[in-house]
Amino acid sequence: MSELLVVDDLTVTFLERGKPKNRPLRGISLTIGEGEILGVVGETGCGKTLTGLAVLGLLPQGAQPNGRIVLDGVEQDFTKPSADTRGRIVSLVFQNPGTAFNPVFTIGAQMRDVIRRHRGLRRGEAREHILHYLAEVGLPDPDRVYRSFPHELSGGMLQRAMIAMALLCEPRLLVLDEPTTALDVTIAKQILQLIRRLRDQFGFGVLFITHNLGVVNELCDRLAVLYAGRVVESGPTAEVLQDPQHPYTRGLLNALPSRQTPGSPLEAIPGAVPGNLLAVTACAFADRCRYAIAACREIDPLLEELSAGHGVACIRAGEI
Amino acid sequence: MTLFLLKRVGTSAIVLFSLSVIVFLLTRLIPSNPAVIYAGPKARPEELARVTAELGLDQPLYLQFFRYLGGLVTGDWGNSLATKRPVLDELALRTPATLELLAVAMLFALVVGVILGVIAARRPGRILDMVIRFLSIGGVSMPAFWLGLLLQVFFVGALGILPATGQFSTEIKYLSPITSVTGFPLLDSLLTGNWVAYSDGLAHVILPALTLAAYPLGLIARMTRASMLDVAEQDFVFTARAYGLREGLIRWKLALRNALPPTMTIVGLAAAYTLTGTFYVEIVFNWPGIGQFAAGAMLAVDYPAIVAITMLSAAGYLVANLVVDIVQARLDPRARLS
Amino acid sequence: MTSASGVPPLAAFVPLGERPFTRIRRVLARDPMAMVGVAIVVLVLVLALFGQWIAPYPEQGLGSPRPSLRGLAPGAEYLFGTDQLGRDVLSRIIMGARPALLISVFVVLLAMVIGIPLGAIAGYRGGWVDQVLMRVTEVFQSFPPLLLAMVTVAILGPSLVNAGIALAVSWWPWYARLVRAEAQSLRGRPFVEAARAIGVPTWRIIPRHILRNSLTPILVQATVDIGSVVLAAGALAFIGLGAQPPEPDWGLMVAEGRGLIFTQWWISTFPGLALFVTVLGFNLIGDSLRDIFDPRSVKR
Repeated sequence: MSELLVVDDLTVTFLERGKPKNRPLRGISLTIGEGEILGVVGETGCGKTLTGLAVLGLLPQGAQPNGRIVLDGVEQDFTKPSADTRGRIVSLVFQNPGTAFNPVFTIGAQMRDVIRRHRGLRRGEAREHILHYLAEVGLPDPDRVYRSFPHELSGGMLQRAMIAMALLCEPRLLVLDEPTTALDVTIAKQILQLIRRLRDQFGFGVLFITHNLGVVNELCDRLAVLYAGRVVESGPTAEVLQDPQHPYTRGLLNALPSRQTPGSPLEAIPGAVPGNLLAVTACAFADRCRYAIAACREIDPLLEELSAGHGVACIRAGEI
Repeated sequence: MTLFLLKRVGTSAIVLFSLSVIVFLLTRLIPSNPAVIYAGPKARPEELARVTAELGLDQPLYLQFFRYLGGLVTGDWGNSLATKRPVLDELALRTPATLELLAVAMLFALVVGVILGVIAARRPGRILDMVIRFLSIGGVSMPAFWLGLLLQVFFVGALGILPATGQFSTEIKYLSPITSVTGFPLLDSLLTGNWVAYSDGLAHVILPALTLAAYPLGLIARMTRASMLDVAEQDFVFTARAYGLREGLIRWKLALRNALPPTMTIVGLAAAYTLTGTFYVEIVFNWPGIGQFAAGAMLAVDYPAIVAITMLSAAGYLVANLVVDIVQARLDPRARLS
Repeated sequence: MTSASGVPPLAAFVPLGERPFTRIRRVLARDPMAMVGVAIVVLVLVLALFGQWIAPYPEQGLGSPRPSLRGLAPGAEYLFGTDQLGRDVLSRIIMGARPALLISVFVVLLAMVIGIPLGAIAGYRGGWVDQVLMRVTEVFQSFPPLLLAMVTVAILGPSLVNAGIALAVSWWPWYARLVRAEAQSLRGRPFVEAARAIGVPTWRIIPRHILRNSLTPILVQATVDIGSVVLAAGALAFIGLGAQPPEPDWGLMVAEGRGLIFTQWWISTFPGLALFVTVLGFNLIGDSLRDIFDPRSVKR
């Protein structure tokens, strides 16, 4: 399988008046193959959304990236805006479909703007093209959706429309940032099925950002667990979830309500993610880790392959 | 929409009635006797008594009020004490000139104010934003009557490229008379293809319109900037960037359309400021409109004229606010439903 | 703010992060344009207080004519030239600072005295009191700005004091509405409810809790308004509905030089400039202070 996306040792530093203030990403490495769905999991603030934005070339002002991002065989230039790529090679679908669309334009008009930007189609052709994709994402009355304003549609319909917009220019990669979090459980399930079906049909790769391990289990081929700006464990979904190696991954799994014995107190990982990652020199999880030894507070562990395709960043990997 | 309009017209009627009460009470507080003004200072006592009776000033206050109210409703607004002609005729004669001046000024303020506001919001805190901020605060701090004089000194005195006063050059009347179509002379000259009169009128309207526009322009630029900054943080702007849309399209179409409805909220107020601005700007530019007439009426305590001007201006203000609300509803599809 | 005024332990409930003045100072200090405004306002204040010692010819400033020196162009002797009656324009501008500020402070104070109690009672009490007051303010605000003031002056007879009264008559609804909105939002706050629950009478709650906590927006509004009133009074004087000759009023001075604008431009230009700069000073401060209660404009 050829690699569609390679993120290699990506570091993002927030600068304030030219001085580093925080380093939310500390050397992220991950790959996505053609037609592969990679789940990126972690707590709030672990850097998963920022990773997605870096891939799109949409880092906020004052964020300085280092490292390498190769998308569809093209190395991304951090110094140059990548507006030509966005929406054409890589598309974004994000969390809240209710606010992601412009409230004063129809869905059709907004999608026309996208297709005119990248394909330069005329109005009539653009309309045909858009209606095709609106039907493709399972919207029952594409023509009505096309003429609707966002407030006239439900959250689930809007998210489908958003996915249709993401597919308009047949991108190679989709970045989905918590696309089901704001939706009802049943609707969320439908959206997940839709993503899988479309992937099978169009063969694009997916970077799926979520905090929900259940969703990952349902949808993703592989997953990468992020903690404090770093990938602490990655591998095929089934393998990682059944045999988690990193203490943090275990903690996440144990914190799932479904994993807990009824009546016993809920388990949680004690403590919180360190606020500022600039000063971190050892394992960032050591202070919250029940297996931590003295060496954990001195050595900064790197992601190492434990078995084929299954990497863990923990010096005690394999022994605990 | 119809219901909304009916409701608004209803409340407007109540407001206008209340205004007429206030104005009535104010005019009856006049220390000087209106009859004296009407009959002239040298009038004999019996003539004064006749005028007093004619104006109904010898009757009890509540009867005077009913008479006054009846007059307002039936269109008998009394005669101007100064010109002895019906005030409504006097106003009708002057309304087109003032409305044309207002329209040009507001159009200029809207277009330039919105453009400046959008540019300022592009990079808040940067030099361009600071300059525009200073300009707009300067605009709302500007004494219009003084700005008018400065513009005259510069464009008329120093450069000599624009006429100083008036609405048209006097010779237009003879060389290229304007055929009345709508009653608005500048518009009529355009509609009838009377280019001589049109360019002459345009040259005359530029300076007073610029003078009047300073205040609303500053107000609109500040408001546009604030709402553009608001909109810039919305998710859909981010979506547009995530789909690679061009910054120009995002700013001038996608974001601006969302920033306009909040901007519209102050356009009504800005128009009202502009309306009272005509009182002194028309003096400076000798513009043959209501403003100059109004200022004269105030100085001469010409109370039927004062009442008429007040009621008309207030009605104009109400209509302006109604128009603003309708435009706002048109701009925002979410408001169209309700 | 706590013990000095003998506030009961209840004061612990009062959420006063910062005193209003501290906060205002902090906002102004980080905005260079506001500092320009402060400098202008201080200058005008100094002129208003010590004008008769600063002005080169104070007696002309107050109006005594000198026919032999009519219409002199600006020069070393008369920096801004002399007017149609031979008076030094600079002196008249300096002497004009005091009446301009006095009338504005008078108007704003009078508008506050009328508007604040009405707004506080309406907002705190609610119900029909509130309804009646709001309808009244709406009617007042349906007059285009300045029009009501013009009509009132026209009827009272043009003079500076009458212009002040007239402006206050048309200005108070803004304070009433401002304080009403504050009172409404404060009414439901725990510390006010606690005060009511332990039986503090209304006439003590309103000044102690409602007014004290609305102080910042009121101060901000007052700053902006002083500038606006200077401008409005100038406009009234220009039409002839404000200060009367020979008072050294800036708006009046512009009107006096209007007919001579193409020959003796300085007679109108400098007084108008004084008026513009003064209003600008207050508006620069006001624009910055609006951040305090309008967090939308903070992002700059």
